[in-house]
Amino acid sequence: MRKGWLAVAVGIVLVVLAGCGKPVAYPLMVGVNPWIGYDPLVLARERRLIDPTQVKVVELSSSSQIVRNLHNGVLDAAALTLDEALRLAHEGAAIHIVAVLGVSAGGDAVVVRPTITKLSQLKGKRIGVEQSAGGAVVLARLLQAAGLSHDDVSLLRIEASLQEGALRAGWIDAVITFEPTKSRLQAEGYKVLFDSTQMPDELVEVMVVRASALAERPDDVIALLMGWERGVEAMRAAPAAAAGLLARGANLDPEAYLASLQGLKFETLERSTWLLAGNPAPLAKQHHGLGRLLLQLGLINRPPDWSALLTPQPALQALLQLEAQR
Amino acid sequence: MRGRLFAALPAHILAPLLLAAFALSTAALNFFMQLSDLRDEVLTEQRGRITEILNTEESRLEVQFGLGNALEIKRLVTSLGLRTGITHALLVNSEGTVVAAMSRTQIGWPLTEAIASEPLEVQTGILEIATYDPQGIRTVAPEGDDDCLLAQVAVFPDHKLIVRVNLAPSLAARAAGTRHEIIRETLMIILGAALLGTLLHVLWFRRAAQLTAAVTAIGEGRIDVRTGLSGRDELARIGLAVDRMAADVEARQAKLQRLSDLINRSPVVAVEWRNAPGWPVSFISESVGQWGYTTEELLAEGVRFADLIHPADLAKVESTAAGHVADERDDRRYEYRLRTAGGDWIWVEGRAWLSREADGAVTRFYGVLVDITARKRADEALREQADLLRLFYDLPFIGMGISSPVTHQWLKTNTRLCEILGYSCAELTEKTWVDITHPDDVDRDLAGFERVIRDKIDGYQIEKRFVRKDGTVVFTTLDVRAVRRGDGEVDYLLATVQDISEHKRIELDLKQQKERLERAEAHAKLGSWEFELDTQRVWWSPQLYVLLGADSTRERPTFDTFLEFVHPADRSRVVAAFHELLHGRIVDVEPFRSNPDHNALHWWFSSVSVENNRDGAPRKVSGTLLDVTALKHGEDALRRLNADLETRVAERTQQLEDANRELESFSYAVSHDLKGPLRGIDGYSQILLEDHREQLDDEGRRLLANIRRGVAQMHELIEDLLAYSRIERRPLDSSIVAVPELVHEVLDGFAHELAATGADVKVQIPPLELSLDRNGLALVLRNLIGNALKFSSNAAPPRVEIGGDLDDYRARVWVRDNGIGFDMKYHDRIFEIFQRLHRIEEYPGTGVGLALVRKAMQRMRGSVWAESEPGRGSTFFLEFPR
Repeated sequence: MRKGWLAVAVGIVLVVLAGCGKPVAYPLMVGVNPWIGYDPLVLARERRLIDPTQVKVVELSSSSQIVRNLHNGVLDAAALTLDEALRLAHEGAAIHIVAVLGVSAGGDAVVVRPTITKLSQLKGKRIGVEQSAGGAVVLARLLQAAGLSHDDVSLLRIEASLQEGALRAGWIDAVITFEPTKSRLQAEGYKVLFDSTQMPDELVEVMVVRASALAERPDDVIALLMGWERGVEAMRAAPAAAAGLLARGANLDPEAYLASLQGLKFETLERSTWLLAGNPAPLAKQHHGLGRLLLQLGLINRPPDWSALLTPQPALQALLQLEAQR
Repeated sequence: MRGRLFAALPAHILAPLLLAAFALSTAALNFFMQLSDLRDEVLTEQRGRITEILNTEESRLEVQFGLGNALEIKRLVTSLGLRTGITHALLVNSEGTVVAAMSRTQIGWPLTEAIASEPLEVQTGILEIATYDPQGIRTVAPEGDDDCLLAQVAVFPDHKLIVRVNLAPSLAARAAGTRHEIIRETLMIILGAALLGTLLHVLWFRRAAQLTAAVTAIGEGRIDVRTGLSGRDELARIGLAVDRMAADVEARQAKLQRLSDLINRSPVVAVEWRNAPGWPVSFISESVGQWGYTTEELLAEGVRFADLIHPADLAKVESTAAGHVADERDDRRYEYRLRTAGGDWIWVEGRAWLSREADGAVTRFYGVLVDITARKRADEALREQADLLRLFYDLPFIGMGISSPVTHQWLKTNTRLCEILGYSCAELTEKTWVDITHPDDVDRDLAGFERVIRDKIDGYQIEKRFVRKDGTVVFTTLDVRAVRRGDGEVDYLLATVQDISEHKRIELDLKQQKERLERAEAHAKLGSWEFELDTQRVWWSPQLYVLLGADSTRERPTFDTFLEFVHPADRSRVVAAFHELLHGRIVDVEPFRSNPDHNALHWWFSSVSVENNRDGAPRKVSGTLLDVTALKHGEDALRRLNADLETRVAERTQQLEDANRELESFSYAVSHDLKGPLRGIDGYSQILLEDHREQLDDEGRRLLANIRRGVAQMHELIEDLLAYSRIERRPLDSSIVAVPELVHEVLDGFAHELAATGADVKVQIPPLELSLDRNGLALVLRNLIGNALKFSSNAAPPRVEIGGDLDDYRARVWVRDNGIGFDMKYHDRIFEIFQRLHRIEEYPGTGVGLALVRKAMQRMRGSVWAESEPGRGSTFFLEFPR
């Protein structure tokens, strides 16, 4: 009798073993919007500085599309501005900020028709702005600088990729946009009245990762960050070659592309770890005002929980692995 | 073969195995079937999905083309990366240039170049689908690349969007899903099989095992076991049948057991033999154990019953058996001896029957055996008793006869009785025993007879006299026994008669001897006694009573009584000696006195002896008491005389010692006093020789020289005498003396002589230390060494050897020389004073030296002796006790 049961048990074990194949591994889906500040990631993808089976960088039309896909779980990670990330977290998304990618130093701007020469002229004008926290922040600073209120302007919520067309078509008088759109519009004769140089260090791009992805696939997150670092390095090492490759996607010629890079600053992983670590972390201290602003704008209704949001460990580990590889 | 393998496995193992095999094979079949359909399903599904995607994307792209929004077109193409499995998306214009792509590298290049860096199969697939006309949506699953699906859609106005889908993740996901499903199903199947197995176990196998165990137990002989199965199925019915069968067998076995117990407890042994040579046993009851055999031993192969039968009886048994077989009669009786397992022979009686086949051939004997040894022995004993009785009757020294209790007539007599009574047996049967009884004994004999008849006693014994035919009287002891009938009346009287005439004569002799002894004791005034320790019996001879002055009729002979007659002052000695005697130790007791309270004082001397039993412990003590009063008086007189004599001897000895001392004193005084005048003569003659030398002629000087030499000798003699007498007077001074050192010291004193004679002296004394008088030993050694040198002076060269040895009891020193030696017959003489063996001219000396040596050795409790031969030197030995 015992032998019979033994045979059955062995059979069960065999069946279970047969069923235990390697689980299907999809790459970590990372979304980026057309903002050229995220192009080091695209460069890393094109140059195979990231293993495509591990990380898939997908270029999407706008931040709102990214936020939606992140919310829906289609994306595991995304490059977003800090304000977008804070808003997303406030809305209840389980996310972590694992790296600071760059700071907008003029890359974000308010581009206006050539007829508008002063900020005050914006009163009563229609301003195109993306339905995003970043857009709202720039708008708030713009209105602040212009001495206007929300009621003084009319706003048109419009996706980034459609903003150019809307401006050209005359549907809007001004657009709150960013590179490379800004450069393209400037090339067409549109003016920049306000840019992120007037709100220093306020527009920060960060890498956001879904908490579940970080928990389940920490190695892929580390690979992503390593890819970022390599992309930044590659871009700094040979900017012209990078521009030659990347400009095609931005609808710019390489020169314009190189010029547009002036409006932004890439952050390294080393700086990320410094900015994210500690309690309060330097990033939290620097952007205390941003939180307040978001509160004022009603984009969030309670101060951000920085300590839950900032996670420096993946950046640190990516840094260590890179150093080990060097 | 396989069938046998299955049969070899019990059902409770086989059934689960088969169920498991069935479950596993079903699961495996399911798995492979699902896998084989998987790709087709995935492909169909992905075709549908990609068609839907491309349909949407086509619309969106055409909108953007309409708006001329090149950037958004690019972003739409790149956004395809969000779709699972899409690895490539290329928007190609009518010139074949890539205008938008998921990879920026590919933008702006002709399609062929744009995808040049892609793997070959990717290139081939994309180029292949790119050749199709751009009409609607088209999907292609290229040959040779199972994991790939290619699709193309025409985008108005003149573009086409090409996408490549990697099916591998979908396939893998589906495969994983399928596997999970299969696992679930398999587990369900196995669970079902397990449940079925459990059900089978509970309903069938467990009960079947119960049935098997019960049947096995019954098969092993435990027929009280029952299956205990209930229910109405086949197993229950089989169980019921088995239980019924077991109960039946149990009942039969109980019956058989009772029968077997009956036989086994009875003295009967039931046997069945095969009618084969040696009659091998085919059955035997366990009661054979009474003869030491086990049934197994006798039923063993090769055991023949015939071998157990006594060889002397075997032929008889064989012939009986042969007759039995041949005979029509069915049963026969056998009687023979049988060997037991212990090797003893027993008598058995057997009844045997035959078992015949249809043709009359005998196949088996069966029967019962009973041990009749006891009966046989009883018969034997009876016969032996009868023989013995006859033997007794014919005994040559006991007369036996049977007489009638009514007529007193002898009915039967043996030869011996006739001899004793001096009649022939025929004559004797004519007479009554009263006729031939001595008239003085008739009444006593009749009185005994009367008691037998009247008091019904068994018999009586008397000593009586018969008058023989020749008139002489014979002394006998008569023993009469009554032999009674069943009603108690005397049937006849058995008389045994023993001639004791010789005994009577010896008795008389003994009596005479006793009287003589008593007379002798009386003459010698010697009493004797005995005491037996174990019985405490005391016996005194009549003379002892006389010696003690005791009345033999009144006084009981005990030790205490004896002590009464001993002088109170001597009793303790006597008691002590007697106690020692009781422990087997004989102590001499000085003669002791009688108690003057009873009669005049007597001196008694006691001597005793002890007889021991086998263990060596005293059994009997005996002794004599001798009146030594006269001897004692004589002894006292003798003792007084002796005491007188001893006093006189002591007086004489004292006188002698005094005289001796005077003599010694005298000789000392003489020697001492003589030295004075001698010094005068020597001095004057020296003066004469020195101062008046010239007045003397040669003769005068020679004579004077002679005088001086004589004086010197005289002086030496006196010195020696003085030394000799001093030895006696000098007190001994005992100390530890190292002998070798002392020898060397003495030799130093002879340095001059040694040098002069060139003597060869060897000293070989072991380290020897003696406790004695150092000066005495020095004197002895000086004399012996001096003698050795003196008497070996003529040898060339003189050799003196001084040696020694010692053992546990004594130490020895000797002085040996190679001098002139002496005849051993003079040995004693040379140690006496003034004794010389040579003339003084040859060897000067006074003859005192060796006497001095002997005297000194005596004083030191040692001894001296010599060994010598004339011309061969001498050895003088000194010996000291240790």
